[in-house]
Amino acid sequence: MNSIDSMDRKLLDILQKEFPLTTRPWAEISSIMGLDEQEITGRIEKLKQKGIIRRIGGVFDSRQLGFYSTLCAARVDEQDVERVAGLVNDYPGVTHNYLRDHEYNLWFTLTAPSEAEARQQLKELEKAAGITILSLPARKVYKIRVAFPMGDNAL
Amino acid sequence: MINERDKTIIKYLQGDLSLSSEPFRLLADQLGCTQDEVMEAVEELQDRGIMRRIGAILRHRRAGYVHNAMIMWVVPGERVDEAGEYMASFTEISHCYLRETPAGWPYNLYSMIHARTSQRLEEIVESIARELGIQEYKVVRTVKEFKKTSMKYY
Repeated sequence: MNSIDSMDRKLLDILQKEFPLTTRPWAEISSIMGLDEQEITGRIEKLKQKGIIRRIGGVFDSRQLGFYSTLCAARVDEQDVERVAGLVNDYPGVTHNYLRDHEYNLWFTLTAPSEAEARQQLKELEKAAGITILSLPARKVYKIRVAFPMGDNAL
Repeated sequence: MINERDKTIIKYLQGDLSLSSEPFRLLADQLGCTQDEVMEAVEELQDRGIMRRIGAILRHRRAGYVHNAMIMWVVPGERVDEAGEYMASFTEISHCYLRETPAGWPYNLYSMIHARTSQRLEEIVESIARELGIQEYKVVRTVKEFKKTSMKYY
């Protein structure tokens, strides 16, 4: 974070919010920023190496694709957390898995091709891990993140 | 409905775009069409609401948003829309959902807050609670990240 300059910040804003849908997006960004294309891809490469950019690609609406997703929580003994978290991580439909400071300390999201499949996986996991899982599917979405503002005056 | 062509595009775009000068060329080859036609198809996925956006996905902690918390709120049913929309109006709130409430679980509204300072995070939580008159809520902070990735649909 401390080693990114204002060009990187501007680049991150463009990459998040105004990604050019053209066959040569890096060239397009380079002309917006007035840098050459190699410098743009070099900067992106470095931002990936620093772990700031996780990936560049499409973000899909799982519901529109017919998938079911839910937020899950479980109470896990502290000394058992790593083991259970490992079992949870093994599911490809688990995209987020966190330890949080609450009585229900393990929180993860599960996405599956159908509700029945999600339930089945959770049942399996409950049995394998010896835990009870609270499933909290969304009933209504008020907001889903678009971007984290990075510009020099951001937030 | 999602057809095979859609799936091919989604499979390609759920990964990380190449930094080569024409990152959609390979997808055009797979689909047997021109790159311009690929761009049209991608735009169409966006118009159909299947793709929310295309672009960079950041690790927000590394990007300086180090104070992150999930706030779970107990909001009376008739006020959830008002509360959800109000929370959504904050730039620092990235996600806001109404969720099911299993027996014995009181929290129905959830918001994710990302702030650069702890003070800013607390300010937002307090001002929301005050503005909406919510008495019962819980700030839950992330202690450790075990996994964070993007869904591979196909």
